[in-house]
Amino acid sequence: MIPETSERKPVLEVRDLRVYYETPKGDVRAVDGIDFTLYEGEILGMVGESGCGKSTAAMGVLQLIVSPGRIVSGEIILNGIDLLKISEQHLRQLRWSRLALIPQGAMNSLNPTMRISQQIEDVIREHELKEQRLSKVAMKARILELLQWVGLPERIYSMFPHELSGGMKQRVCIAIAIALNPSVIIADESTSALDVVVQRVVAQTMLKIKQALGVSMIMIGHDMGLMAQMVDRIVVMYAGNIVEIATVEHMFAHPAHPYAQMLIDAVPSLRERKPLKVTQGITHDPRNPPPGCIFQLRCPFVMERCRTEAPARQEIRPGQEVACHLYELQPDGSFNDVRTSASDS
Amino acid sequence: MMSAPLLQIRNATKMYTQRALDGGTQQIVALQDFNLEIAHQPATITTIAGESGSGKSTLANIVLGFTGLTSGQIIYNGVDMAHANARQRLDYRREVQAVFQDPFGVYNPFYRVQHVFDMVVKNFQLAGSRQAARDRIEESLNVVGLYGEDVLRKYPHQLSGGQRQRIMMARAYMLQPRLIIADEPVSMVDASLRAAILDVMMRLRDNGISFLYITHDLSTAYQIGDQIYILYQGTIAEHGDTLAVIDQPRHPYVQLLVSSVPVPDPAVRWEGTIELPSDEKMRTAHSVGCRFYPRCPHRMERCLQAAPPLYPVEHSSSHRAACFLHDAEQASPV
Repeated sequence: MIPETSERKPVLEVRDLRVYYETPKGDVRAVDGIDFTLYEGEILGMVGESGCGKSTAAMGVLQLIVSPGRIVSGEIILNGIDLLKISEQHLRQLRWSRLALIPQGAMNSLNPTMRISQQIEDVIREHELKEQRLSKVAMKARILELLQWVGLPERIYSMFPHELSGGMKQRVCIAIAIALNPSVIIADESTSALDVVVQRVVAQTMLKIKQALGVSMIMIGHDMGLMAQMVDRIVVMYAGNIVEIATVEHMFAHPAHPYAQMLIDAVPSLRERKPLKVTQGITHDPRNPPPGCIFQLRCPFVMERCRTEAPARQEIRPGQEVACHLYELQPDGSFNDVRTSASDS
Repeated sequence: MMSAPLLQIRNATKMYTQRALDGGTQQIVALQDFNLEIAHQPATITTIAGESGSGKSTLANIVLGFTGLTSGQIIYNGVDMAHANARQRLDYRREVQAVFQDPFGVYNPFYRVQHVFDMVVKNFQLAGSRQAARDRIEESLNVVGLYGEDVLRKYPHQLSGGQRQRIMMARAYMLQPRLIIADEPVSMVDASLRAAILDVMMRLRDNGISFLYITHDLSTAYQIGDQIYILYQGTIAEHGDTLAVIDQPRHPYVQLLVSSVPVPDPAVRWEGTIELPSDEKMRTAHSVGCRFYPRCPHRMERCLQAAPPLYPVEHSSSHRAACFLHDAEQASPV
C-alpha cells in the first residue's frame, strides 16, 4: 500500500521533459513535456500504445537517447541531483549505482560470448566506486548472492546465456540491475516476451526484490493485467503526453481519461465473454500535433473546446490526476464530469 | 465425401534433428501424435494455445505446407495432401489462407497497399476486368471495416498495425477461403486495436470461414474461440470447448497456465508463488512418461512409465485431458 502523500518521499522527479527525434520533415515530438514523480518504494507503471513515447521517456531519464533523438528541455531530479546539469563522468557513476535499467528484450541484451559471472562482474567493476572496490573473493560472493536473490541456482554462475531459458536470462538481467543497490530501476517491457507462467515467476521476483531492497521501479509495459498485479500507480501516456496518473485501484475502478477508459475496456477477460469494443482512429502525425487536446482525433467525447485548448492536468480526486476538459472544477472544490451534468440538466 | 471433415490432422509428428557439440545428433520433438478435426459446417474458430516451444507454430507451418511431417497425415476435404495432384494443391493453396504475426514484416515497404491486392487478383485470376477487380477489392476491404479510398494508395508505414492486420484479413477473404490460419495475429498489435481484428475474425466465421487461431494468449481465445487445443511440449494437454476448458481446466499444466494469467483487477492478486524447475531440459524423442512430470504438483509413479492418453473429462465427450488423474473417473481411455 502507498503511504499518505505527506510521508511519501520523492526519489525521482521528472519536470517538463521533452525528447524530440529529428527527421527531414520536422521533429517528431516523442515525449512532449511530461511531469511525474516516483516515490520511495513504489512501482510506477507506464502504459500506452507503441509509439506513445513510454520507452523514449525512460531512455530520457537515463539519458541514453541516441541521435537523431535529443533531450530538448526538462529536469530529471534523482535524489536531489538534476541529471541534466551534471557532467558525463558524474552521470556515469550514478547510472548503475543509483539508476539501473532492465532493458527491453532483456533476454537478448546479454553478451553471448561471456559467462554470466563475467557479465555481472563487468557491470559492477564499471560502475563501482574506486574506494569500495570489491576483492575477487568478495566479488564472487556478491554475484552468487545476486543470483540467489533472483532465484537462480549457483551453477548459472559459470554458464553462457545460450544455456539458459528466456525466463532465466530475464532474471540474470534483474540480478545485474540490482547489483549496485540502485534506488531506482527502470524495467522496459521486461516480461512481455515471456510465457505467462514464466512471466509470473519473473514478476514475483521483481516484487520480492522491491519488498526486500526498498527500491523504486518504473515499469513500462502494455499488459494491463500485469500492471494490475504489480504496480502501485499507473501513468497513461498518449502521443508523448501524460493524460492520466492514478493509483492502480482508481485506474481499474474508474479510469477518467477517455483514452485510459479505452485501454481498460480493451483488456480481454478470462472470467466472462464480453462483446468486443471496437475503437477506431489513427493517431495524428507526431511531427504535427493538433492544437488543443492531443487525443481529440480519437476521442468519442470530443468537444469544441478540445480543438483549441490543451487541457491541464488536474487532480480530480486524491490519487487521480487527469488532463481532460470533461472534468470541471466546481465552486466547492470537487470535480464534475461534464457528460453526466449535461444529461442531468 | 460429404461426411469428410474440412481439415483432418492425423497423428501428426514432427521431429527436428539437432546436432550436438560432440558430433552426435538427437531428435527434438516439436509435435507428437497430434490429432485435430475441423468440420465443414458450421465454421468455427479453433484455438491452438501453448507457450513458446509448445509446437503451435510448427503446427501452423505444417498445415500451410512450409514444412513436412515426420509422420502422420494432413487430410483436406478427404484428400491426403501428401498425395494430392496439382489441381488439388492449387485448390488447397486458395482455400487455406494465412495471416501472420508480424504486421510490419509481411509488407514490402516499397509498394502501396494496392499492390498486395493486385498480386492476388493476378495470381489467382480473380477478376475479368479492372472494374470487377476494383469492386472485389473494395468489397473485401469493407468486410474488415476499411475503405479503399482510405488505404489503397497508402504505403504500409502510413497505416497502424491493426489496419495492416485487417488488410491481411481482407486479402485472405478475397480468395473466399474455407480456412484461415491465423498465427498470433494480434500479439504485435496494440491492445486498443486488437478488438477490431478479433471482431473481423468473428464476422468472417459467421460468413462461413473457419479459423485455426494460434496464440499464446488465452484471454483472446476465451473471447472468440469455439474449440481449444492446449499444447504442452508438442503434445495435447487438454482440448474441448473453450469456455469449458478455461473455466474448469483439468490438466495440472492448464490449471497452472490459467491461474498465471494476470487478472486485470488490482483486488485479485496471484495466489501463492510458483517455482520453475531449475533444470529445463530439451525434450528428446526417447523420453517416456508425461512431459509435465517434473513440474506437476500431482505427479504419480505411473506418470513416469507412459505418456497419458487423452481421457474424457467427466461425462463430456468433447472435453479431454491428457492426465492419469482423469483415468480414475472412467475405467478405460477412449
